[in-house]
Order: sequence, then C-alpha cells, then structure tokens
Amino acid sequence: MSLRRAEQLKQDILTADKITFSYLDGTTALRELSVKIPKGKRAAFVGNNGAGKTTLLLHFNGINRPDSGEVRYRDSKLDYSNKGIKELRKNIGFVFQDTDSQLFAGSVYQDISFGPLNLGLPQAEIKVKLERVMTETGLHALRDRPPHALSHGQKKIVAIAGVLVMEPEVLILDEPTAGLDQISASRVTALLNKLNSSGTTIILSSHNMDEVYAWADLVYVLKEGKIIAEGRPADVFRSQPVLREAGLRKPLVLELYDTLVSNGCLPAQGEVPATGEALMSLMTGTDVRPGKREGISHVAGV
Amino acid sequence: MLYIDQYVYQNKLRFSHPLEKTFFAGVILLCCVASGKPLVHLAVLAVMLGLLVCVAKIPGFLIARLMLAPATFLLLGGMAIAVNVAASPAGMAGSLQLGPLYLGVSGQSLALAAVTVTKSLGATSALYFLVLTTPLSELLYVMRRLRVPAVVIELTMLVYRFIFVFLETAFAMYNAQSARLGFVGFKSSLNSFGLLFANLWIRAFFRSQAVYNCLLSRGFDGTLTVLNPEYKFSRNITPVFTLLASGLIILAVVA
Repeated sequence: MSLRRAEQLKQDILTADKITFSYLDGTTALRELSVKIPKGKRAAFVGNNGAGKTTLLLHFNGINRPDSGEVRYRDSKLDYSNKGIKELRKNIGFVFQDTDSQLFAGSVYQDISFGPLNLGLPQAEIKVKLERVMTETGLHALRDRPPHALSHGQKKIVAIAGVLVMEPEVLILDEPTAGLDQISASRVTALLNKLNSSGTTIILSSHNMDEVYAWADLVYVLKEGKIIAEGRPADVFRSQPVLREAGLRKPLVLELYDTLVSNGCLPAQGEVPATGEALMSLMTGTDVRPGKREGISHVAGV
Repeated sequence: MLYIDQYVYQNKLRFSHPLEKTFFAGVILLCCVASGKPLVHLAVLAVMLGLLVCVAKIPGFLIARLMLAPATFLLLGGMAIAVNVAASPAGMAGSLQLGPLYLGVSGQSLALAAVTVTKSLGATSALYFLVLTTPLSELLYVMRRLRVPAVVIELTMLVYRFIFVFLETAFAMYNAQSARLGFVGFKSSLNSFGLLFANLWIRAFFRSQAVYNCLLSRGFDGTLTVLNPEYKFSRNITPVFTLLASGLIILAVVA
C-alpha cells in the first residue's frame, strides 16, 4: 500500500465542527456538536428519539444548515451555493426513513431514473446504470410497478436503489431497517455490506443495538444534541455510564460474551465476537462440557 | 378501498403501445362526439365495453360499477332535457297538467335527450377504455410525447402518487378513531370527521416538506423528469384497433 493510499484511508470524509442547530419553533436540536466520520467506514448513530440523529444526518448533505459551526466534506467547508449543493448531493446519497415521502414517480423504473436525470447524464448512460442498479438490488421483477403496490421492504430497496444509481461516495440512511421484517432487514444490511466492501462510506442511524453492534465499525451515541460517546462498538457498549445516560441497552451478544468470560466459562478473546454466530463458534469450539450443548443451541436465536 | 389500479396493471392490453391506445381512444371519442346518431354512440359503447371485457379481461362487475356513476347522472340529466314545462300543451306528444302549467315531452325533446345520453355514455366508455388499459406512468409518457406542458405532467404525477399516500393516511386515522369508538353516534362522527380532516391537512403539510427534502437530496432542480421504458407496437393489436376505428368512422359517416 502506497503512503498516499494509506493517507486517503485515514482521511475523514465528513466532519462536523461545533455545529449548533435550532428549528424554527425554537427547539435546539444540536448543541456545539463535533464529529468526524472516517472514509470507507460503517458508522452508526444511536440515541433515543429526539436526540438529534436525523437533524445531524441532514447536515451532511446540506438540507440543514448549521446556525453556527461548520460542516466539512473532504476537508473543505460545505459550499451552500446551488452549484456546490448539487455537487455535494451527487456525492452524498441520502435515504430517508419514510419511503412514502421519497418515492414519487408512477413506477419503480421511473423513480430510480430521477436522480441520474438530475445529474444531466446522457440517456444511454442512464439506461445502463438503471439496469446495473436493478440487477444489484434485484428489482427487475418490480420495474413497472407503482410504489403503492409494493411492500414496505420493497419500497425501502427501491428508495436505496434510487440513491445508489447516482453512485455516491457516502451513503447516509436514516433508520434503514425500522419497521422492516427480518428478511427485508437482512436484505438491506447485506446490500449495505456489499456497498461498503466496494468502498462506499456508510452512515446510518438505528434503534436496534444488536444490529448496530454486529454491523458498525464505529458507533456514535447522541443525547440531547450532543455526542456523549464514540468509538468501536465493543468499547462504547461496555460503558455502563454511557448506556445509562443515553438510555440504551447493551447488545445481547456482548452481554452474553462478557457474562461468560467473567464467569470463567469462556477465555477472554483478543477480538470480541461481533455476531451471535461468532460467539456460537467460540463456544462450540471451546466448550469442554458437551452436556451444555443444548443450552448453546438456544443461542442460535440471538 | 377500490384500487382500480390493480386491474389496470393486470389488464391484457397493458403491453400494447400507450400511444396507439391513446390514439385509438381519441379517434373513437372524436367519432362519438362528432356524430349525432344514437346508433353510432351505442356502437362505440358496445365496442369499447366489449374490448374492455373480452380483450383486456377487465372484470364486468368493475366496469358495471364504473359505468353506473355517469349512467345515473345521465339518466337524471336526460329526464330533465326530455321533460318541458309550458303554459299550453301544444306540440307535446304527451303531457300532464299541474295547475296552470303543463309538464310534457315532445318528439324533439325526447330525441335530444336520447342523443345526449348515448353520446355521453359512448364518450365515457372511450375514456374508460384508455384509463383502464393504460397505467398512469404510461399516460404521462403519452402526455410528454404530445408535448403537454411539463408543469401539467409533473402535477399529474405527484397527484397520482400522493392520492394513495393521502388515502392510506386517511384510512389509518379513520381506523384509529373507530377503534376508540369515534364513529358510534352522529355527534361523535361529526366531531371525529372534523378532527380527521384537520389532522390530514397538517400531515399533508409536513409530508410536502419531507417530500421536498427527499427530492432535494436527489438533485431536484425544479423539474421532475423521469425516464420512460421503451414501448413497442404489437402485431396483434394494432390491426384490431385500425379495423375497429375505421369501421366506426364509416358507420358515423354513413349512418
């Protein structure tokens, strides 16, 4: 790896520097909040309703503009001119929580074509991109359907496809798995993982701590418009004061792992298991008491 | 909720070219409106309903329900045209005396009523043909090809999409209210309906802001352009349309 490439990897792609933001009705949603999102990572924002997650995320693509402080994209302050905003939104895709607000066209195909048409690309190129993104997201069978004939999970995938087709460098998703069934949710997560492994920085907000713990590289805990903790999921979710202050629950896998280790059932590992499966294989690999197997298989539900 | 849309997406003429369906329906509509003969109007009605039921395979009950609304209206309107009120019964084919006035029908007024009713029914069936065989996204494509102003197309698209969102919201609220006995009596129904309506407007307002933010995030710059798939003319349907249209035109000219 060249030095330059290493430098790029370390680069923060989005930075908020002491931003304060109030809504028109006077509620202060963010208070001198500072945060840095490294390039190529999977970042997750957690915190209770009203903590400021959505408000903060909307700063990253210039929909919200801070009252004070500044937001930077690749080390340069956001340019809020029409041209600057257009360029920014080309690079930073945003998938809203409410898909009914996001999908507006008469068919899936037409809706996905909206973004690239706004980029002013030639039609032939757009058509190629549309086919590619529909293959990637498995939407071919639904291409002529109107949005109201889709399930919530399908709508979410269409909403993501409509943003992906613009090939953003950063993809921001506001509670992407909220209200989805297990299968739809894991489909969304799998898609996000695929995108991340091909270099897209992914930022999301979530209320599902198990999901965040298993998925994220970095977790940011918000409370009343401030970041009260940030770091690797295992570190953040082990801090009882942080969990208590933010009103969050410790992820089940981590809780289980820590309990097993402190009870001497499992030797402490260098790397904390991220998923239920990882913990399972640790246990089945090390457990000396086969009689306990039954109890172990129960963990599969985690 | 009656989702006409579901039938539109499943109809068997769905994949014929939207332009040819529009052109066909347009020619027939013109033919029907230009002709003064009930025979032509009834022929149009029969052909269009026949196409809808037999070729497009739209269930008859749906078409009957859809035709019932204009038919009721037209029958009442037709009666108003047919019946005249005059001071004397002269010239009336049959009349009824009501004090100093006479209510009656003449051959002329009956003919006028018949023409009005059949013409409107025929024209309605031609429009239903277009609407029931062509999804709105494809009608938008036709509008674009016909160089309808962009604003009209964008509004049509948004109205179409958000009618469904609006209805869903309204029904969800209605259900939530009835679950708490909001519609048990006349007074409570009025009250609940008022609340529902007021809330719906507030929701619509917030929704419009959310939609605007979503559009901005995808690079909205004032025009809502979308890409249409490519449509092909079909070999089976085009001749049928041509044949039927020319038959009706000949009938309109000759009859």
